[in-house]
Amino acid sequence: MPLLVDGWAEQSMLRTSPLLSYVMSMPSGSKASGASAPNNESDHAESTDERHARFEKDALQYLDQLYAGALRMTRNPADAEDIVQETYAKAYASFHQFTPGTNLKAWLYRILTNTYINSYRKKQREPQLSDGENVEDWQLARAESHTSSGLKSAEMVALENLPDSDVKEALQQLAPDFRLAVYLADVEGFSYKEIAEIMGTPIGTVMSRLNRGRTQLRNLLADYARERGVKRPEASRT
Amino acid sequence: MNADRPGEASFDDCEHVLERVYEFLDNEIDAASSDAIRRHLAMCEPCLDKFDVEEAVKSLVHRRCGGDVAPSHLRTKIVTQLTVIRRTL
Repeated sequence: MPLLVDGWAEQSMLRTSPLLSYVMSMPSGSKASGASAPNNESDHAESTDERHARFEKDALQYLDQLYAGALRMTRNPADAEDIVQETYAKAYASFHQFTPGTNLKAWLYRILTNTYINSYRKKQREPQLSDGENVEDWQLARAESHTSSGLKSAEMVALENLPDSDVKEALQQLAPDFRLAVYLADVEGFSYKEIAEIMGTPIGTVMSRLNRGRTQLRNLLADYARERGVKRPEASRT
Repeated sequence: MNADRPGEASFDDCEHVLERVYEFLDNEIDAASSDAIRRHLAMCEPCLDKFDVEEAVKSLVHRRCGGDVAPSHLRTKIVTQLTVIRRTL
């Protein structure tokens, strides 16, 4: 597809456009190659106008969801806006690679996740937080969770009464990989297979991240619930 | 507890049940195992308590951690951007 990426990047509103390198590294073989690509408009049954309309109709409906996801990833609105905007630019430029009838939301999430990871790595220049994870680790975490749930039933009530800000705050404290796995499973309801595709990892890794993320989250929430319980004596009365 | 279902993983002991509690919760488990876990939970209060906690946390995250609405200027920016990109396609 003649994307004329170079020309676009110059006009783009993105501060620095990683679009070129992104499109070049797209896995599905249909790489943009700038001005040298032959014009194969005739290969398409769909006109540019039609595709544009289809993208606006189908992809933009997920804007709020992608923004919410981006907000959990980046933890601040300005960065979330940036990666969502970049995600839509990339998605639009490679929309011809999307297979109609497959899961568009998951596809967009995959681009969002890649965009986040790239910007995150650029900013942090630090190794991935979960590099050390392995099967033994999460089995260990599970063994721990067997002996202590971290929450007694009385505290379940306090849990339900936690303000949104506490629950979000607890989620934010998880390492990025764990946080994203939990978010994709619990908020978006993606299957393990979809999460694996979005995060570019094997399903076993998804399960490990979910296990560890949820264990940590449960313990954090238990702490918040206890703190709130102390602050509000009426909540601790039985 | 029905211990003798051929070909079915044993979910008699709590450890096996708790090991797969997230898969059960996430609907990522085959129907037979799911039934076996359900039977175990019906008879084992400590496991049921743990399951309840996991379910409560999952539901809490589901209800409280999404739902943010993108600012309207973001939508405008994106729509404008798409038009700009389109001109170059």
